[in-house]
Amino acid sequence: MGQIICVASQKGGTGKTTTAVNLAASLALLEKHTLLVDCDPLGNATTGIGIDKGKLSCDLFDALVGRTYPRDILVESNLDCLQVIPARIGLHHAEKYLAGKPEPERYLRNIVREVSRDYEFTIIDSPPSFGFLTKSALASSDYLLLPLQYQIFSFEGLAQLLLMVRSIQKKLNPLLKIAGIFYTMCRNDSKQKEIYNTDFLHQLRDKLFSTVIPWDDTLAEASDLTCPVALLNMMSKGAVAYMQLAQELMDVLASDR
Amino acid sequence: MKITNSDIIKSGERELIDSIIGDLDWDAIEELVKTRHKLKIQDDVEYRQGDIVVHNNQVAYKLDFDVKMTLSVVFDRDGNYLSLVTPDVDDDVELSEESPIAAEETDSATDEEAGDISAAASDGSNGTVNEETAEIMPAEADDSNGAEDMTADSDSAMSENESVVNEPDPSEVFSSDDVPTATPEHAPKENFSKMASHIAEMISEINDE
Repeated sequence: MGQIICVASQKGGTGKTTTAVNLAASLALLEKHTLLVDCDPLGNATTGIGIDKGKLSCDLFDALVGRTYPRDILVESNLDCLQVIPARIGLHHAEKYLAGKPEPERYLRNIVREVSRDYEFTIIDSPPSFGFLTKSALASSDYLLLPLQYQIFSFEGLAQLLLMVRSIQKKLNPLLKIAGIFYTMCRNDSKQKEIYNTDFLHQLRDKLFSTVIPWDDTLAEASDLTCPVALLNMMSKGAVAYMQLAQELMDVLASDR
Repeated sequence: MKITNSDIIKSGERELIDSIIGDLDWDAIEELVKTRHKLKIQDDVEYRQGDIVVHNNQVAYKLDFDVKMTLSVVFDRDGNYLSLVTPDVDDDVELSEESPIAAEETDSATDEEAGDISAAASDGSNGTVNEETAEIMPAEADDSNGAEDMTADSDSAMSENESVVNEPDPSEVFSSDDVPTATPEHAPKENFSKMASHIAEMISEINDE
């Protein structure tokens, strides 16, 4: 079985979905068989990878409530090595449907664990909240990848998220680990140097990926065109950064084995 | 001979049911169970499945729900059944032959109302009153006399039980003491440093480093 990585952030707007889409696409471009699981009822990762939600006959919600077999909800993407478990707005009903079941977070885990056997990497995009779906995503993953903006709100959000991670680890997923933190939406090179070289952040250095995702208008443009940035402009700063992040992630996970 | 794609029909029907469920007034459903059937629900009503049905020659929608409730069976020292009660709705309500659910067991009336929980229980369709309840009901219908009120002790025991169900998991009750927060009296660098230190410690703990 491959490795399951959840991109998680309690705070919205940290580049979580952009990361899930472009990291999954980058791994696929590196010819790694990859599955992208959209676990956010907004379904932005589904749209962002180029899937028309209106044409779907089923999605993650249908598998969670047992209407369809997990493998029946897999959708092809525009990349050979990348398949997707899509989500739509109906997914927000999942908590209501599964409430009262023992350990309802295990429903997503069972689906992901079953399907991810066929992939080298599974990337889960989780919602920006402390809700049931986020808990389920954490309970389903081997590793967490944590996007962080160089803003105090983002730091606060991450500290709070880690409380939940610790709780999920104790209760549901003892093997859950943090793959690392990476900075997103970094506006210029001097800021990048600052956050790596300042003494007051030295505690975080060994938890950080060396890759920094820069602010790049091409990333926003690619989102508008509902495609990964690499398919829009392979040489853009955003595309290059996500390829580097994919490579660095593979190295980190390989060294952890 | 197929004249259209059945997948499209199924998908359309499913979306219709989903839309109905999405707009459902859950409080009204719970109120229906509470007032019409005199049952105290222990947890949220859960949707199980929905169907498009014909009712009185009209199209109707039948939604099946799971309802979790506390029921107490009272029996004497000889093991004889005395009564079946549910903790207070407004007052303690005892299920008797007059109770809609108990009545269903003796009266195999047809499903008068689409989505009627008691009717669905009697016809054995899944997803209505849970199985445990359904098994209890026939005994209730056989003998509803000799009823005895619940004692204060047993009543309070149920309340405790319910409060346990409704309380959040203690391991997920986080307080502001659990995480450092940015404060205005500190310079931004100090706030960042404090946070970074805490985050690093937590990651080390999670990764068992």
